[in-house]
Amino acid sequence: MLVLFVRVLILYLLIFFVLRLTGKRQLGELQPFDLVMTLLIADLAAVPASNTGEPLIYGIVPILALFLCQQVVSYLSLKSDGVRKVVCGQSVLLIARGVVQEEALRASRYTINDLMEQLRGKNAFTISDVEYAILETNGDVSVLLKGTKQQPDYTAFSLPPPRAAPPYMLVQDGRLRPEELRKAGRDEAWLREKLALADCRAYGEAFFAFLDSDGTLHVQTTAKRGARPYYIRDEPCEEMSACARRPSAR
Amino acid sequence: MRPKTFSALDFISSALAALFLLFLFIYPHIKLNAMRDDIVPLCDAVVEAVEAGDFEEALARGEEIRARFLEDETMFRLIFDHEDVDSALDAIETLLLMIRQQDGPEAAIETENVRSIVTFLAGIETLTFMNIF
Repeated sequence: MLVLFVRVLILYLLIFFVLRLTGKRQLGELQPFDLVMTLLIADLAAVPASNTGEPLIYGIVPILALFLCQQVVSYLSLKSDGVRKVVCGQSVLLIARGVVQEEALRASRYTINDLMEQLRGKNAFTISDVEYAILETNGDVSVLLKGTKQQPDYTAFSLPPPRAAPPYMLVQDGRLRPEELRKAGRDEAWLREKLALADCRAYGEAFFAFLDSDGTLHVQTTAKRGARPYYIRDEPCEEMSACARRPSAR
Repeated sequence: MRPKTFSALDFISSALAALFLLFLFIYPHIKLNAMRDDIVPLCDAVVEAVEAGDFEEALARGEEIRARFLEDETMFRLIFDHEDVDSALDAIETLLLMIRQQDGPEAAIETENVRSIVTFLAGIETLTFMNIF
């Protein structure tokens, strides 16, 4: 049994590193070629993993062979447009300047119903709202709405845009993340002061604390401390308690 | 398949995988051919000895066959189905039993069995059209 356990561990680690090195993320992002390879790798590992009569090499060699093929094809796709076209395929314009391209639809084996379904997934409930629709190589449809249907942005109203900055997760699962704190340009003394406003005397009392782009620190205490959320502004206040706001109970 | 940036890590990992596979392609092939080249003449010697009625000589050559096979048994179990390795060992043990029982015809048959198994195992690692399919 221990032998079986160790064999599965070895194959698991091998698959993990192979999939990481080939850049796989979630199943939804996979193109057909990637999906086939992922399923194949799983199938190849399954037999030697469960059968101690089969040498582990029977799983390792095919997986490495697939990995090498993937790397070679990936490299060639990068260097050659022709290879990329063959391997990845090409995006297809399904709607151009508001007109549904019937031949492209037929060539892609798409019906109008399929197209409508994809458009609805992109919040375009009528074809007349769409200027361009492109069928990507991974089967997803990208939609560019007509100008009149697009959401205006701040420049359209000559308004100053809000500050664009990523949120920083400063405390996660009760543990301080010093690197994020450093990136946010804050120090521990500042964080402890703010957490005190959220009734947290130690990092372990906060489930999470993240600093929003507008400078608001969102804190939620742990379940043991009532799982209470706080929104703490990052500005000096005459009364410190006025800086921390809890959302009103519903 | 989306092409991605090919980093140094990709090159290193691909090179390591290729080197490891190359080792697996070459080393077992060399060892199996060496084993076949050692055991086949010993099988001929067993058959000659059995035909001449010299079962002591046949037993000595049979023991050599077993010792030669066991030399690389660990490597065989790493690259072959264990059932195939067990079959080969069973055939060798059966051969030794037939020699001890001084059963000439059976010993000769078992010797041919051992020879064909050893040749088969060496042949598996040879890249041929038939082996692929």
